[in-house]
Amino acid sequence: MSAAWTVAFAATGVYALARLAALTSGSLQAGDRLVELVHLLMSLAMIAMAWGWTGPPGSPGGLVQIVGFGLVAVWFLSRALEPGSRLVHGYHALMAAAMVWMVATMPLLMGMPMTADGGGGHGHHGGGTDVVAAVPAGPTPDWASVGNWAFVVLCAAAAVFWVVRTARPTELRTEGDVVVRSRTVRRIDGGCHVVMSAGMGTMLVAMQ
Amino acid sequence: MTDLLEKPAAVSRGDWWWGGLRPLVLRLHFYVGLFVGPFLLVAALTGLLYTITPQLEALVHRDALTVAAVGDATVPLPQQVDAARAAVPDGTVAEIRPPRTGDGTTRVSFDAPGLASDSHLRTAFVDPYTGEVRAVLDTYGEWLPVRAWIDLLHRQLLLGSVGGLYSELAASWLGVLAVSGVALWVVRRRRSARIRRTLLPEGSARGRARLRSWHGAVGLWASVGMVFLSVTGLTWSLYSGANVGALRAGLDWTTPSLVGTETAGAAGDVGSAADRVLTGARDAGLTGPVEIVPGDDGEAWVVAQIQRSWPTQQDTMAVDPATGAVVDTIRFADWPPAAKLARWGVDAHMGLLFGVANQVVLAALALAIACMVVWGYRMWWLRHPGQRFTAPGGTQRPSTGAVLVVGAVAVVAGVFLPVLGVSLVLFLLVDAVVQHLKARRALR
Repeated sequence: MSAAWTVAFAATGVYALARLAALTSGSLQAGDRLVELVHLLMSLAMIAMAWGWTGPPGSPGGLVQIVGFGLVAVWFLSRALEPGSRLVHGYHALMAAAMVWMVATMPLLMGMPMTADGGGGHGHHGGGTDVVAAVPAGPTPDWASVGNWAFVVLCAAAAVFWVVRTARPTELRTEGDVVVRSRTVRRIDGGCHVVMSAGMGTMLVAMQ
Repeated sequence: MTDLLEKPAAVSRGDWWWGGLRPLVLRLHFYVGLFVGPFLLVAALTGLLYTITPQLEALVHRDALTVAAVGDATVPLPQQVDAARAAVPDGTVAEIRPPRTGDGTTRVSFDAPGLASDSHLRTAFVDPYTGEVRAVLDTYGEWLPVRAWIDLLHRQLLLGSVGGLYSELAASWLGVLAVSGVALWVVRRRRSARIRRTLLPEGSARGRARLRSWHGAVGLWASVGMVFLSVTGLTWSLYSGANVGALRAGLDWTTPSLVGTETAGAAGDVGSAADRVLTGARDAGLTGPVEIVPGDDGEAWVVAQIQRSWPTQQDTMAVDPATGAVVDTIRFADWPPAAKLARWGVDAHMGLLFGVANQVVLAALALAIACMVVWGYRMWWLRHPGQRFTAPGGTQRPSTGAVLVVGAVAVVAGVFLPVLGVSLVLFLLVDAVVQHLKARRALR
């Protein structure tokens, strides 16, 4: 599965980088630089997580992800409360929150210690493999299990949402007396969102 | 005011790639300089102070490092070690260094309670001619307190490992600043006297143009040194250093070690064992200044050359403490090339490799970096107040290809150098949010 996640998120990461480059140069006008940057970061974080490179929540890598994606979740939540593209901003807030959940609950779901062996100059980025004396896997608390499955369901629902949008990339809107067919999403954009939602959901399932 | 250096020239067909890349490089150099400048200035000034530490240490700790009078014969090493152990009764001998010069003292270092960190030792300095303990000091590795203080000031601002983030941030971005600066300065178009104007400051210029000419010319001369300091400094750092270590381990480029070599003999009394292993190593041809590191029960003791000045002497022998027989040897000449380069790089960065000349070059480099930071801020301050936080280059945008290539390099660099990666991401996120808020305000 690690290889599959790596391929999937490498593809979404490359696409996000390409769109970020086009938006920065001005050759692409429609788009949001912040969204593409977050897509890129999330793709990189998911690849690192697939190989156990980022460490548990108590490690510097874990803390940076929790704080970073937490702020991103708050940002998109605030934008979802404003008119315009509420569903899409809500989706991005959900994905960022799922990243925070994934990092924060990894020890509980997978039976790892909360901190990495990172004293002084011996700090390492090897994730679980570098942790000294891992706590033996115990039962996952009920609340963690329920919460994790809730995120899995939401990711699955998000994947379906993006499959529908990708299959029907345009919608009819009424502007005054005129009915306008407008594009809601490029097919490749929709496809990337499907991959990211499915990748997140399957990784959450694998952590159970 | 006419700025001779700013006169635009026609873009030639060969410049298609630079035309798209330059706006990005210019913005990168500007923003990195603006936000990382204070950290670079502190690192440069503390580094400048560090360049005089060999002389400062010899002066401040003269009583510990040198004897009052050079005698005719030395006291046996076991007796010197016993004197040191009596001065540090709660310590375990970790290292013994016979004197390097005729008027030097023997150092016996101990693991002891109450030390500031795992890297600190409690060291007794023994007069080899009288067996008298001249001083007991807490040392940071081989550095005495004044040098250790300045070392930790430069590395961590005396704030512990968290403070090390400042120097890692400076080291991470210094190389980027140097490379981007050289590109901007060298590719700059000059109507006449191109070579002179590239290599030297513009004497006839005024204001920002004059500052820019000094910043660019000095930066060009100092660029190789800056990249060197950046690369070598990162090997020490907390996060990037760990990645460098992992890479070296993966490629089998680590420094070879004899610590842990097994042997059948029992050491017995520490002082006598030290004397046996030193004699055995000397008889086997190990010359020059050395350190003796006791092993655990069943392990050989290690006698290693410790000369870090050119020509580097770092040969190591594992010696049976019971018999003095050499059980294994590693010659510096047989180290992996990467390990040798790491040794030389670290020693050159610390001003140890080439003595006073090394210190002078480092001091000049530190001064150059400090001046460039100050000139850079002065240039920024002389900009129109409304433009101070606007990137230079006006409305010029980089090409998609340039952003893509630089972005891909940034991803790889950011993963390998985590402090660079996190700081870059933080800047990009804040920048994107600021741009979004500006655009929203403009629409209202």
